[in-house]
Amino acid sequence: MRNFIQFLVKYHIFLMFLGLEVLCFALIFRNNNFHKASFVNSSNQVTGKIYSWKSNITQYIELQRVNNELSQENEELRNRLSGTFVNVNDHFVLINDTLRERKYRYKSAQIVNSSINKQLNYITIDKGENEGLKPEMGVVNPNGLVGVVKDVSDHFSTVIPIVNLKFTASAELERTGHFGLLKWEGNDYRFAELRDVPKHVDVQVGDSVVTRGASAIYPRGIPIGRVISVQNPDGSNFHKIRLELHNDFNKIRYVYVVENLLKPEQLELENQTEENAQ
Amino acid sequence: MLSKVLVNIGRFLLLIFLQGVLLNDVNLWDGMAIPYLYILFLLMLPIDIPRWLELLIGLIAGLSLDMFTNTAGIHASACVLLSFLRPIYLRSIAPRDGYEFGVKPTINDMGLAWYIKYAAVLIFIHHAWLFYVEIYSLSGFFNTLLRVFLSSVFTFILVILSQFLISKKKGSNYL
Repeated sequence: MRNFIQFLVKYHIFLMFLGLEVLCFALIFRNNNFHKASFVNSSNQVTGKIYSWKSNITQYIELQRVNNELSQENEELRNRLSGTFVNVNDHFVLINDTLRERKYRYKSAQIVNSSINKQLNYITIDKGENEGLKPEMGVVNPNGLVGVVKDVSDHFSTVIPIVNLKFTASAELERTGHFGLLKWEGNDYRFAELRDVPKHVDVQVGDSVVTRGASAIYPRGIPIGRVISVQNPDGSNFHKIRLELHNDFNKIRYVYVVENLLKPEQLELENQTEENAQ
Repeated sequence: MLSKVLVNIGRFLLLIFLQGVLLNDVNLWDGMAIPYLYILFLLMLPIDIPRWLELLIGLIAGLSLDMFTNTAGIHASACVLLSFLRPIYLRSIAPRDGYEFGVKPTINDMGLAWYIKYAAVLIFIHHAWLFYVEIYSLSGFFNTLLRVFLSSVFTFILVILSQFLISKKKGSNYL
């Protein structure tokens, strides 16, 4: 006992160091679990506030470009308004359509902070739980897929973008319909990889890659990127496909958060099937 | 004593804020070199600070920055390592008669040659730990090593520059 206490006294600094490192790594691994809320992130009140001040200042610089993008999108949406179409056949009257049910709802949000130079990049947006955001909602913008909501606080949310080593999503080749796993390879925020596409699939440079909509997070067919190289490494059954992302993560300002209204139903059914199978 | 504490708290707030708002966005060659100037705060802690206190301060500084970068624990673990190793390293590079009482680990007090030896090694250790824990794998070992090296050089240059910037007056207490 005496020796033990002497040991503690002698090495107390080293033991304290070890204890603190264990604490840090516990935090790191806890945060590794996708979507587990943690107090140390920029959706917390203090850093969220600081980042929104910063964004208030810097957004003026990008106003011109953002305006152009918004007006382009307006133009596209206006072209879809019912007023721009004429009725070809006047015999039919539009009635409340019960055949269609709303599946996705979009909510616009502004990015208050983002990074591209790390391996674990995150985006902070200015909408949170008060606006109905929840973890695991998809995030898109007019150019294509952006990422998925990770944590939410009252007024802010953090998003895991494609350019984060922890990001994965199911994606498919639009032309052939085969799907694979979308992963970022680190280093360069303009490129990503599509893994697990079997070698027999005919993949061409220039093929476009879109979301598959399998996980009930994003709608199907949201553009992601374009194939720029296909390799066939020896000893593997899969292609090595490199994509150029449509989104330039260095200059995104506005995004839409997608809520899938039928997600609970889909998940419940899938869980039920899994349970019954056991 | 109290003024010393206040100066350190002020330096802490300033450097964490500067790092979180400005320097985290600075990067050269597509993220190969990122400056982490905030560890200047840990490098400038008094030489005779109790070791347990230094470890706690390292933890707090790291966690504060983690809040900005959404990387719970990663900066904290690197800062705790730095705070643990700094006193040991300080002892090993001490002048022959030890440190004079009240001397500060700055260029002003210790001279440029000593300071380069002091800052370069500690910055490199901190950055190496930070980048390898962040990527959490040894794949792309040399690529990460290059990032560590370039970022260390970047941080080191900023640390030296800021030392010259803030210690013009001999014996100045501020920053």
